[in-house]
Amino acid sequence: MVKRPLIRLRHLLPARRGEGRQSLRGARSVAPRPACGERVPKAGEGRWAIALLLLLALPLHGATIKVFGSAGAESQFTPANTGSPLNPDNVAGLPRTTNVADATTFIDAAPADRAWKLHLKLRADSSDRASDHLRIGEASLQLNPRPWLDVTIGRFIEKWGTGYAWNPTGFVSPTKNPADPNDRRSTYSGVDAIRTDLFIRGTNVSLYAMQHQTFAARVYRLVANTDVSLHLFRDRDGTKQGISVARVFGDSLELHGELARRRVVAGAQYTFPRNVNVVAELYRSGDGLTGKQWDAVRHLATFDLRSANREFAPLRMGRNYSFVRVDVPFSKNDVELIAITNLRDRSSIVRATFTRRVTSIISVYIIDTEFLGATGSELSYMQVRRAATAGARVYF
Amino acid sequence: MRQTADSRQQTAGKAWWLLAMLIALPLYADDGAAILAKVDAARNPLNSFAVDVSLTSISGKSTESSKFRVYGKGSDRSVVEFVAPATEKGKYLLMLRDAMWIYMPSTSRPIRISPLQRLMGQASNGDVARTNFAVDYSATNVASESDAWVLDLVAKDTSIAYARIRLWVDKKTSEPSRADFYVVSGKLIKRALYAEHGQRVEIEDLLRPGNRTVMQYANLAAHDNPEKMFTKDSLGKW
Repeated sequence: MVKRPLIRLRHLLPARRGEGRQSLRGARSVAPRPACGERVPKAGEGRWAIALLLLLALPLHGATIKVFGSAGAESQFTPANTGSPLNPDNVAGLPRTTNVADATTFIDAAPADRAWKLHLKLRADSSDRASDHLRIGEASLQLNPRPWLDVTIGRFIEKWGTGYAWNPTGFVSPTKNPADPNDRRSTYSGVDAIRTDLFIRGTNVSLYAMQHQTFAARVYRLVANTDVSLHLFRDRDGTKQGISVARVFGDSLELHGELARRRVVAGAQYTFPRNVNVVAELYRSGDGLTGKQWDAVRHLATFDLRSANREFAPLRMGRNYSFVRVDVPFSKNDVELIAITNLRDRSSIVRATFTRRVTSIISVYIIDTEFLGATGSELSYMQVRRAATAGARVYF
Repeated sequence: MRQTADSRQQTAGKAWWLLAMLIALPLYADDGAAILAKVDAARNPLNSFAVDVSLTSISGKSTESSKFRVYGKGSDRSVVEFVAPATEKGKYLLMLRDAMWIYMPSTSRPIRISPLQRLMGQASNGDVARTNFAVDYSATNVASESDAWVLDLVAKDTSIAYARIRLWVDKKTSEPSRADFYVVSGKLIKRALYAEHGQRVEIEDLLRPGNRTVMQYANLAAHDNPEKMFTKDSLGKW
């Protein structure tokens, strides 16, 4: 049986309102599903965050408060790939254009002695194709009772691992989209947990307690100039372990790797003169589809489009992938090129981004994402031909 | 052959001269180390401190400015908080000797970076965060030039960004006035000019004439920075 993938087409595209043809509508639930790294807020969920704020209202007047973030708007052009067996004649009714806007605000408050720290991440999303959202991505209180002890309570984004595009050891991390590894629109939300950090003679031990009898632990130490982390995660489904490492050689070369159960990533980052940066990674996932399993999905698409669309998730239909990123800054501009390739069928996602800093607080950008692959390859099944985006962002 | 008194004196003189040279050679190293220690003491009078740093990068007609707050402890640990421009707010840089990590709010995790990855302009991360010559360099030669000592410094570790530095130090104040930075190939790539008692540093890119970065330090004060602040997992959380 084909396993349910974690990353779906919608994670690469903007969310859309229910419009267009109805033939695949029944395949989706009415309620909006979260995209990569997002949580759908439950009713009344923000109350505890508000209570936290009120609790700290009195001492806040003596604290240093930092507010920063960004707001942006962009238009996305996503013509349907009518040649995709998953979307013949655009039966999915995917919109040709989508306009979205978002605003993310980070708020940090802490007294001079840093006895505690309050951290908030608030995010608002708006789209002409989906409902508007206001989310509390992070809301946590960190207490520093001892020089060797920190306790953090609330919701916070925790990212494990050293990989750039993939993080096999990211047991508590938001699901990452390899085509957008830096989460350029700050969409990630955190987990609700209590974290205890112990600092013991150069070793950091972090212990996590989360909902539904879920626990995690991470031990970090710098060993011979190498970042070494051991990861442990346990929930009702069982236990997972992993290790991640990273080390810099000379002035310019960084090597990193992660290993967890059936997943492994190995990569390198090199900085050339003029700050040109190149990242390359190889990823293998034992959870991905074999060639036979992929053929089964392709066969499914010939008679059951709904099920086939449900099973299809880009960058999960194979077991071995490569990632290459080249970033070239020059003057007030930045050009980034990302290529992610399925090593079995050589199909690729290629994304080119041009960013220009118009002023010290305003950037404009254009992004083009192309899905390339021979007939029958994973990315030839993408339901859109390309995703072209133009937008602007202001920082405060 | 019987030696004359003059030749005996000459021989004795040569012997004393040779002895003096033999003693003087290590003294140069000792003097160099002592001078270097004074330079670092003058630049880093506080063991645990905070200081504001403004960075202006000039490239032809264009100018970019950034502001940072640097927290330091000891001779080889520092955390750099990015304060301005707004695009950089929320970022932090941790430096432990030559190991560096950067934290960005968008990634929410510290990322290991190499020394050459630049903060901005001509100043690499090491230029801003590094505060101590004696930790990374040995003085191999000391010369006198007018009212300054001229030290030849060699990196103790091949992983250090600049293999060699020639440093001019004011004899009276022990403050640096100029530093020439060389890479492994022997090529001179940067020149730093110190002014205002070390509060202002102008870094010239000799590979690209006309490009320079000006670093201005201000509000240096003692600040109680706990050890856990200088750990990778604390970056962005502190």
